[in-house]
Amino acid sequence: MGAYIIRRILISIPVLIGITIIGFVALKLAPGDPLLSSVNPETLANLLSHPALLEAERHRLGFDQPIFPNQYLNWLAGVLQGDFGYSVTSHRSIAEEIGTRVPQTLLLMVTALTMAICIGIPIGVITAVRQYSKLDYVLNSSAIFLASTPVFVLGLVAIYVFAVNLHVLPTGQLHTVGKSDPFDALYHLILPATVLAIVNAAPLVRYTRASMLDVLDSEYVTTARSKGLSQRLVIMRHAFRNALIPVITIVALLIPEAVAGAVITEQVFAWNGMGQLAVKAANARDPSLMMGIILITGIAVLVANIVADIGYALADPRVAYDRAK
Amino acid sequence: MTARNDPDALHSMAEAELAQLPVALGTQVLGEHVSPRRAAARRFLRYRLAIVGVIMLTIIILMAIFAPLLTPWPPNWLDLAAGARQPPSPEHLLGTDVSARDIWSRVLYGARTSMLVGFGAVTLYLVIGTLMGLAAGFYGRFIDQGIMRFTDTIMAIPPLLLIIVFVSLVGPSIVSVIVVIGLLGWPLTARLVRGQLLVLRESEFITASRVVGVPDRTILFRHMLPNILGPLTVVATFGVATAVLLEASLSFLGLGVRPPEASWGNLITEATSPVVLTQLPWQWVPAAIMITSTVLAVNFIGDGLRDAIDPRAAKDR
Repeated sequence: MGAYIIRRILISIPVLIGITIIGFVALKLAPGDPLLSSVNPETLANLLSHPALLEAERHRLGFDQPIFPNQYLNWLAGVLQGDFGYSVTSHRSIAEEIGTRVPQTLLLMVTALTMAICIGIPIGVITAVRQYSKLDYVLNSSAIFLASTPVFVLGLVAIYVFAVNLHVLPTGQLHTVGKSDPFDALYHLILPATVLAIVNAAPLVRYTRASMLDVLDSEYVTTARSKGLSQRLVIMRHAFRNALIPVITIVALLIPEAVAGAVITEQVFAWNGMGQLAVKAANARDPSLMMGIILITGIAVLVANIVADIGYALADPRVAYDRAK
Repeated sequence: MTARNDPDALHSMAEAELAQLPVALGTQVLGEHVSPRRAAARRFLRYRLAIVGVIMLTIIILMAIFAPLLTPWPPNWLDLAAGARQPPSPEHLLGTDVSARDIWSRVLYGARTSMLVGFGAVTLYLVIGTLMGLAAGFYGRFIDQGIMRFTDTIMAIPPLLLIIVFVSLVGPSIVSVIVVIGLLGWPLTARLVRGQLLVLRESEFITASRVVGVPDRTILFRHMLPNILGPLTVVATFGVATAVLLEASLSFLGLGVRPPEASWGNLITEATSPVVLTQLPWQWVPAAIMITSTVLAVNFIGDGLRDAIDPRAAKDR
């Protein structure tokens, strides 16, 4: 298992390098002087008043060198030391900009994904066990319907119903102004997290249902039934555990989609996280900031995939990972 | 899905006069020979929701094409005489927006935007993805390795984020939305084509073609490509749904199709103002209904197509 994890991490490295290359290309394609987004703003102010120093700085940073590989390697070296450059709009370092927003986004996403798994998988199992029943019909069509509704529409409808009409939940923001207790934060989390959870649960219901139906059709389930085991035991011990295996992969595949959902959800609910930052960066055409966000989310997605693969190995003893391919 | 239980594969094998397979999936009705394609068409028609989807999508496409005939108002015309933010009336079926433009007309022209992006972007990435997948699956070795590592990279980054970055770099417009989704959307198609090709490559009729000396290009495009058209159609269909949703999301965020050009997404942006959200629902609800209906219709069609092409999947319904 240990060897497998290490190999799996090593395989991710070229992908990570690929992400940095995409990032670098985008940075270079961006209009504007690259110097503006790579120098500490205080130094920059100083430099701008001395044209000679400006040229020297340009030379020092290697902007007069060939883009590939020299400039790329310089940039990569900076990134490896945590220097992602500076935001052109806020003049703060990218690490600082992103660092302050990561916790909010993590909170939103982890809550939403946990909720999605807790809602989606059981519903998928129920619809499969009760295939062709009215319940199956209702739940399955709601899943298709919700999977076809854009997150922002769902979010706006939720705000309309729960915040404006019923006045039971806030329309958005992290906290009520002047309040900072955890209960207030939780109160503000309910609506965005639920909306994001519903959007992610919908495909999960459909995949779990398909996977479960596949397993229920198999011979060992028939065997288990013919032994006279109770329906409960057949479903939970024999069918569900096996149906779960492909679902683990699906959960991992959902993560990039969930990030996209989070970007929009944050925008709708004025949730001050990375998603809102990304939209702000795109509107202001702040290249370093956008690349920082892409890098961080790319790494997060890769880590999530590795975790999913390990989960897969734990759930399915047939997968012999330590045997070299 | 293996070559053996893919009806289209079977069909081509018959053409190649190599089909001596014991199971003929096309012949579902005893004693009557039905071609695999026709059998697939029958399965598709049996799925009622797929028919509903086709009808819904046809209506939306017709709305997009005949937009100018369905409304007297040009989408960007400011009807200052009627005034801004008017409720629905016989003149303005869905009222007017902040700038006194007719909303019904903007919804119709929004359908044009959605359809253009949906079909345009998907066509673009199907072509790129198919070529890449064919190259990877057919030539193997380092070409395969290179292309697959590249798709890994692209797929590790959340699509919306990547698209936001590139659209904002080239400047938001309908063309850049189409091009960016098209250029970044191909990895999934490439992987599918490659996967199918790896199975096909080992099949007997391909070996047979090789033995008789059929050139690579003919094998690829005459014998292999037709066999993967089925799964490709399914991917393309779901791709249209995704592209329509992406465009709407980008435009909603103000990073896609921007006003004055009409898009369902940017019509809904108005609803971020509490007054519009609560007091003027006719400004955003129609666009929301249109997006959901379009995506729903395309998903129904995709489900029907998938079941029609892969009868094994049909039992999941």
